[in-house]
Amino acid sequence: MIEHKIIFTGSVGAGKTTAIQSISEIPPVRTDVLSSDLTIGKDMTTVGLDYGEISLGETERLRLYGTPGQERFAFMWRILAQGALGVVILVDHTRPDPLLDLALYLDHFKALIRETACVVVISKMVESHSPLLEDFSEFMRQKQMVCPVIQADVRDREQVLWILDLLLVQMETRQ
Amino acid sequence: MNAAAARTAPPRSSPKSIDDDLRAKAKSLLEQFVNQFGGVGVWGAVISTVDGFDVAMASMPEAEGTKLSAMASSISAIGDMAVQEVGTGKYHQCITIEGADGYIFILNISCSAGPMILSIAASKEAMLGKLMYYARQVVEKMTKA
Repeated sequence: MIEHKIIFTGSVGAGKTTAIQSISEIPPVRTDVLSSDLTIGKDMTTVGLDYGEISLGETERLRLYGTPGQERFAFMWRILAQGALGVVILVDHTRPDPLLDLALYLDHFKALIRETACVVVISKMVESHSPLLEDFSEFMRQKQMVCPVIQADVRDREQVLWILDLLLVQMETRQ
Repeated sequence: MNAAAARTAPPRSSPKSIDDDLRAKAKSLLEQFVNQFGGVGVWGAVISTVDGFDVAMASMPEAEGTKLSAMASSISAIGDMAVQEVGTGKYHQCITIEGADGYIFILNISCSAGPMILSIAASKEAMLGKLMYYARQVVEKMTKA
């Protein structure tokens, strides 16, 4: 069995825990606790890590790790990035400055993004609101980072599988 | 604003559900706790929310207490998962991290204002029995707070 480690990171409330829950074949390990931060607009928040698994055929398995979103947990980002072969950056479109959010994760994970595979996923997209999807793509170009930028609903299993496909294609071409 | 600027001025969103009275009580409990050791063994202590915000600290630089709060919250949550996975309970009661020069103890507090965590930094000279006895008293008093 060949196993690959994939991490899901990105802004608070963007759906990292949900994405892993949508596709994991095992009951996911979750470390979400009661949030005391009223500014993030949800009751529970991940403080440690999420963990799930999904098989790809008979011979391959993906280990899915979710990180906490808030920057005070950046030490967990460093721990979880070790040995990862791909990173999914989820950006909540409804937060005050989604481009600034994206910049934070691009900056922290730049070594991983350069050396492995990456997909940027805009979640909770309100299509009439800026920044538009092409603004995110343009932002990536300015940062000289090349990877797919898509919008998706991570509650939908098929859409999360599509995100993994985009990662796997990059992983195969890099091998 | 770029990412570097965002890092130097993080949006410090402090929890509003914890009122000043509770913070003051937590602070006084921690100060009593630290003073019990008269500067021998115990370096400092911090009480934090389970999502990693400091509520009160004693004998600890603020930057250290803030960082330790976030780390203790991750470690504590993973500790709870491990305890549940192995079937030794629902929540951990204490996690001990032993370094070359000292210890970090992390204890769960089921406070009515919301679950919290007590973290204590101690040296190798600390009397562990005494430390744990007084630490559990802090937990108990905070639980009733």
